[in-house]
Amino acid sequence: MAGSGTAHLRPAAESVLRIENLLVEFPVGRGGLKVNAVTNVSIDVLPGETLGLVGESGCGKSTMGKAVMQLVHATSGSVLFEGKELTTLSGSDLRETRPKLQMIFQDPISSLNPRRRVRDIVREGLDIWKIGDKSSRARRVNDVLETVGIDPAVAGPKRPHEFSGGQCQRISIARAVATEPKLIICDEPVSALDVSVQAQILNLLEDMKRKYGLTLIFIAHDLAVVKNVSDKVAVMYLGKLCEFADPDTLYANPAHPYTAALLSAIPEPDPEMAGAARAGVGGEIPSPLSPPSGCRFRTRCPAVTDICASEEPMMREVRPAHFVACHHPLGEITVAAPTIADPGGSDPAPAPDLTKAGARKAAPPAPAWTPPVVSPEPPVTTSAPPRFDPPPAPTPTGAPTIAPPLVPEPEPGPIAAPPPMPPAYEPPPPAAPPAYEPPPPADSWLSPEPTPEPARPPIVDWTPESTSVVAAAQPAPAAAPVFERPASPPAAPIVETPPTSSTPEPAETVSDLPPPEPTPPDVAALDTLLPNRSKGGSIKPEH
Amino acid sequence: MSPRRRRSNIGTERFEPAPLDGPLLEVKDLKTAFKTPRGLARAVDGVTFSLERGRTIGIVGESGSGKSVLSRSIMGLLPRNNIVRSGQALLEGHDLVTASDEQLRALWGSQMAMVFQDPMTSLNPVMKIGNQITEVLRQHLDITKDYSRELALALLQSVGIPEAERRLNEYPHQMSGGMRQRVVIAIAIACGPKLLFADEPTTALDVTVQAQILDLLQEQQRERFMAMILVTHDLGVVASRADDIAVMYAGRVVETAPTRTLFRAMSHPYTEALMRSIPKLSAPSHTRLTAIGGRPPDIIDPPPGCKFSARCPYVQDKCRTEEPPLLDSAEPHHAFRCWFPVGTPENRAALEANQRAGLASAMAMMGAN
Repeated sequence: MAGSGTAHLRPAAESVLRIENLLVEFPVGRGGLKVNAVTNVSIDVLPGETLGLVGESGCGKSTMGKAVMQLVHATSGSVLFEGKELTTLSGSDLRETRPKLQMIFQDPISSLNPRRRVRDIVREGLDIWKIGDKSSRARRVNDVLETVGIDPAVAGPKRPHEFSGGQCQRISIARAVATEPKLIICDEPVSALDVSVQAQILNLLEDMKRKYGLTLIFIAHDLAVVKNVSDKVAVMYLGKLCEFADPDTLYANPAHPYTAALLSAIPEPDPEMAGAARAGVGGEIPSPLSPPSGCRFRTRCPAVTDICASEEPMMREVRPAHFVACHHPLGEITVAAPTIADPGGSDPAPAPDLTKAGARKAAPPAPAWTPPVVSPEPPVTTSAPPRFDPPPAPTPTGAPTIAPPLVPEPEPGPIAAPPPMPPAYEPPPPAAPPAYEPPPPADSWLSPEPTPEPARPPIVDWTPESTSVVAAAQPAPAAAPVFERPASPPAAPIVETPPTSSTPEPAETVSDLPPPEPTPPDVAALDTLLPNRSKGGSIKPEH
Repeated sequence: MSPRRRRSNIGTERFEPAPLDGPLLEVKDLKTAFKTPRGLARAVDGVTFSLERGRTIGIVGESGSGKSVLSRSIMGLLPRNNIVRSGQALLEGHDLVTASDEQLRALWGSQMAMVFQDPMTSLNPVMKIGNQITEVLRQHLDITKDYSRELALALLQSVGIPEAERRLNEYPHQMSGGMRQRVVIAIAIACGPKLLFADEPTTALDVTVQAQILDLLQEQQRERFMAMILVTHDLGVVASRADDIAVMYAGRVVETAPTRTLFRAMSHPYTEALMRSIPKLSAPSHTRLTAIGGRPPDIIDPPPGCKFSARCPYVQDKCRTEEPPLLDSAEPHHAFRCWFPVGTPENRAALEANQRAGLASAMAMMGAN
């Protein structure tokens, strides 16, 4: 991922807002360190369109929004709003432009001045720009308040603290539309709200968009919300753009592994689907102080190969109007053997790559916890690779040269079953790779029943394993039952099996796990983690 | 009473070992009300449920529905002043409502523990991670300092924290939110509690981290055979993680059922409305959401009748005057408070009548169906 490039941009003349190669960096300390908040992101928005911007926190989506408003200064790149370059505008010219750009913030309560009355808050923009005369401004304020569902007569003289979060957000929206803006940037407008209120606000935004002909940039981390409101969705990761497409396409056939992981992490309110397509992504977002080389997602990506470390993927079209920045997009059967020779992964299909990645991760049992978590301490960029990909193999820089040494590796690699991943925990490595296996009908990411069969075994695989923290590693048992938490009322069986002093046996009744015997594992210490239990349920251990 | 004297108090007052059959936790008609200048705010108003060992119950509701107060009043974490509590919360037969502070202190950590919503604030910022874990171990177990450190290390590893050894000597601010939440979980499970409260454990976290943390909780719960009370506003979270679900509204359980039953045959209009208001991934873009109009009722001076009547699309005169009891449905373990449960002919008739009458909430349902 971590894509640069402008392939996905539409003709400049059509767009309201066009951001090209935007770079925003924040200096940190005196050492010359920089947070790469937004790196070479290009995006455009057509009139009347809603662009959804999604990603984990820290991916730079809010910074993007602020950079459009010129609330933070772009290090380089351009922001064209209605053909006008905003990054170089002088103070007064920028002020002239700002009424057409408005912003709605995440926390509705703190974004309203607590000491001012609602009608003054909403009228402020009109007052500043002296739009109309006094009475027409008052009328305008009443109008917008009414459209957002707030009674101007009652609410006008009140102050923000007298309103609930949802109502405050309505007032924020009223304030934003009062000056008749062209573009509104909504920065997580519903993430502080309850689900029921969230639905009201989302509906309201749609209404306002229709009524005032607005163009929206909708920033959120909730993919379901973004899908609901957006006409185009851009997925960001660590300051880069991963994928850009129509929501329906993107959600049905995510091409970027990160998008797929994000989607699979969403808890769907449907128990039948639970656990079906759960692949997720392990680890956490790396530090933006020293982002990984090449593709920034490679440290967590299940499909990672050598090229990902050496070369940054560019945005390219995998389907009509579906752009992705990935060397190995999902659902693409034939990877158009990209640039640098990747003789190791000679088969172009993503599958071999995956197994290779899996093999590489599973092979060395020594570094127990290999996976990608990048801790706050900033790793030097170049030293990063060894850290993330356990085997010392990939020494980047000379991309072509590194390929040969890697070829042998995958072959001996114990591919599918890495059972002896000792008590190391960490589900992702074994679980993830197969889950990403080539989903030609990529819908399987979303639809529960169909394909994810391959995904399941590995998941189950680690379940007993991780139970090995208490019990020794077990031969992976019959798979499915583990995740099928019985909805049936198993009240009776549970009572039957007295959770006797010896600890975890009863788990068996809860989920058809094979009894994870508390047999002495190598981690003897853990046995004692449950000392009370072994004291026969006495509530207090003796002092 | 003073926490400073804790060592000397430990174990002096304790419950007898409980028999191991029967539910782990039984909550009977639990009521918690806060004294306010305007009157009693009934945050929890007669909640009854029971929880078997090793099972998970999900408690769902909007903010203000009393779900957090419920878990806190079961655990006894609420202040003693200005609170009126009644009813029973029996943990292995021992009443937590009437338990003394000392008894409770012996139970916290060792028998029941809580994972709070915000990992940023639930850890002590000026204490090393290691000390925060060993503190609870040493409090409850008579073990040496070195051994408690070993245990802390093993715990950190078991919750999936890389480089656990180094992390022991770090402060909370040096870790990310997800890692901090893992530490909070490690502390909560340190002494092997039988009952774990998870109060919105993932609300402050990103989706990917949320999935990791929920997996971790589930895994630890299964391994240690803990019962869990998972409090959340997100039906998606409980759908995959809870065995049973209780939906709360205005301090009451309005519907309770095993998870699959609830999602298959939801009967209370509020549950249905909650479901409808969630944007779904499977729905095409720009699907209009069915928002729940209005606001939760005033819990200080609630209106008579069904508490949801003011927002309900199926409301009838009976609902406004008579509060429905918790009725059992045909499905086992499924109960709800509604006179016109969703999916019945009476319900449909009520909706049609309301639509004819032009009731706003009922009109909003027209497009949805």
